[in-house]
Amino acid sequence: MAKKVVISITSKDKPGIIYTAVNTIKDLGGNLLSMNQTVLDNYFSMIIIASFSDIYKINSIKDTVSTRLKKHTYNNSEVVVLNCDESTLTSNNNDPYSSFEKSINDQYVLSLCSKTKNDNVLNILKICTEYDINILNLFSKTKNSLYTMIFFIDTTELKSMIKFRGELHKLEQIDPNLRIMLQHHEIFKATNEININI
Amino acid sequence: MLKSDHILNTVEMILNENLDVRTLTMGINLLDCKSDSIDKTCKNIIDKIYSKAKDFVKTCNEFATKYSIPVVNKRISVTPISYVGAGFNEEGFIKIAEALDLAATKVGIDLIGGYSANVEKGISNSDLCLINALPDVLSRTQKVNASINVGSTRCGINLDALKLLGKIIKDVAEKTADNNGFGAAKLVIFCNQPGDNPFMAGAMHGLGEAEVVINAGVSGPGVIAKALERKIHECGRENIGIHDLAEEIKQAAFRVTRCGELIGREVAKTLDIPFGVVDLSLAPTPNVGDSIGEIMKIMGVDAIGAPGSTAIIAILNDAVKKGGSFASQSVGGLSGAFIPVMEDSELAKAVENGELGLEKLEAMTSVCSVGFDMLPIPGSVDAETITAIIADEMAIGMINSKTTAARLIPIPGKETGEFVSFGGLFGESIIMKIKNTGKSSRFVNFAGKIPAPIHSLKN
Repeated sequence: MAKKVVISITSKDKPGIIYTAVNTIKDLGGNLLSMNQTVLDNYFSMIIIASFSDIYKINSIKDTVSTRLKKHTYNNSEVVVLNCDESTLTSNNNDPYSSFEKSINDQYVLSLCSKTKNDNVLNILKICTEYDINILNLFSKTKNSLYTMIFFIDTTELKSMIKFRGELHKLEQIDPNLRIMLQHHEIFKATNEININI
Repeated sequence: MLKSDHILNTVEMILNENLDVRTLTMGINLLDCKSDSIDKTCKNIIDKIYSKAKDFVKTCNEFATKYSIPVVNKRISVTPISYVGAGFNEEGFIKIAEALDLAATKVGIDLIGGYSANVEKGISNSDLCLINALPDVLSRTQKVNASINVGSTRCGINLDALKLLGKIIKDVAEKTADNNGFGAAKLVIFCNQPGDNPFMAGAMHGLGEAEVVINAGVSGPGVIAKALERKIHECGRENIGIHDLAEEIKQAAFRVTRCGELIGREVAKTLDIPFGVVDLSLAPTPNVGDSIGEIMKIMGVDAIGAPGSTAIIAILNDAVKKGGSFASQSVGGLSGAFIPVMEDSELAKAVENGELGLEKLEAMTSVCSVGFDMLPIPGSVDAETITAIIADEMAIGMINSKTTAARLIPIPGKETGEFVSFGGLFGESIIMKIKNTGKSSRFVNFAGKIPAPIHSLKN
């Protein structure tokens, strides 16, 4: 029976990393199921889910990928391989936003605009944790010296939206330069996509 | 898939560019409220409005919070009251208006429109009572807005009615003189008045409409202005043509319209009533950065009213319609660009500087979506001149098969160059100079009817 693994690679960004990783999986007889990557400040991070019928080869994935990356002068790369919890995986799932899309009514976008970031980001993460909010995706951007962080959140387990908004509002009151917006994600689809689902 | 730039653009539109849903307007049919007594009719009106709209404001606010997009105004339009009040006298129409005012307060909305009559071919007895009651109605009520349709491309223009209305407008202004004639700001005269317009003062629930409906009015001059500035900055002025700016306006109008479409539909669905149309009009406010005049300057005229201004309004009006119509399942109302003098700080400034006069403004109204809007004129201008100014505006609408409107506000006791302010969204301006006053009386006093144009004969 095929066994699924999660392979994560972090490296200084250069052309050829994805090719090297995927080619190694192929050479080891693996089947590529899903992958996603992001680049932050010129650092590349990638996560791959693959299945292997020859379970003995799983142990050699980390070493083989690391060796091949180093051969291609990716000296600062780090490779981690984990066994998958099969119950959490869906097959043919190659859409990185699929978890965000699946329970659509509970998905919100929380955006934070501020001139300072550290405490504000930390405070928001703390509130999200306290209110059992799952962060599905996030990214940040600095433009015109304004730091913006955007969280895609799942509010399925949230008990009180009013209280959650209240907590966010308190942060705004503490920092007059901070602006937090919590918006149902449908508004972004409506303003940027052709279809409107109402 | 949502992209970070998409999210940032939308957040930017809300935070810095005055993106909002300008109005959600619930249209309510009141024809079945008519009873054999005026008191019973008024009670029926209040009861029906309350039953349909009691949760309207609350629901609008809920969705405004959900999407973090303000719904600035929550309004109601009703069946033209000339039909609802047919058979009652002037006093009866005043009572109906007071009932509307009371109902509006009870459900917590900003304004209620539909104290209206259609007199394009002739004036019925009930139309006459409704019109004659206007000075009392607009001075005694707070939230009631009135509109009279005096013409159409199909029927021509009723100059008899217009002659009467010239006098009525002055009477309304005089009766509200302690508030600079503000009553006249709640009265608009139309040619080709649409029955699904959500914007005041001309909102009404037309006879062809459903029992109850939600219409959305979206705005967004600030969003358009910023989008144009960005485009010029990114591409360089020398590298783009006016068609590129038109394209940018279309895209921004699409996004703005979608906000209205989404929130309007959600509110309608929650209240279990049909969603009608999105009116995708650029409605400025006196706020800085929310001005049609500012867009005109970005698009290349150094003074509003300078040659080129009419062409720019034409481009703007057309591009907004194109972008918006793609964004919405059903577009209606006025849809285009408004140029209300008092409500647009840049237009008001242009009047003050002497850059924009009545004649150029009239030319611009021939390609905008409405007409003379929130235009303060000297209180001394005679009724015949007011009628004639409006007749000119109505003629533009009739001949060009488009809606035109006139909301002239004679300011009692004040003259050209003096300042008037109504505060809030109604804005402020210097009173515009009106040339050739008193020189149109012979035309107006012919009265009668301006025949419909030849292209109205389509059958």
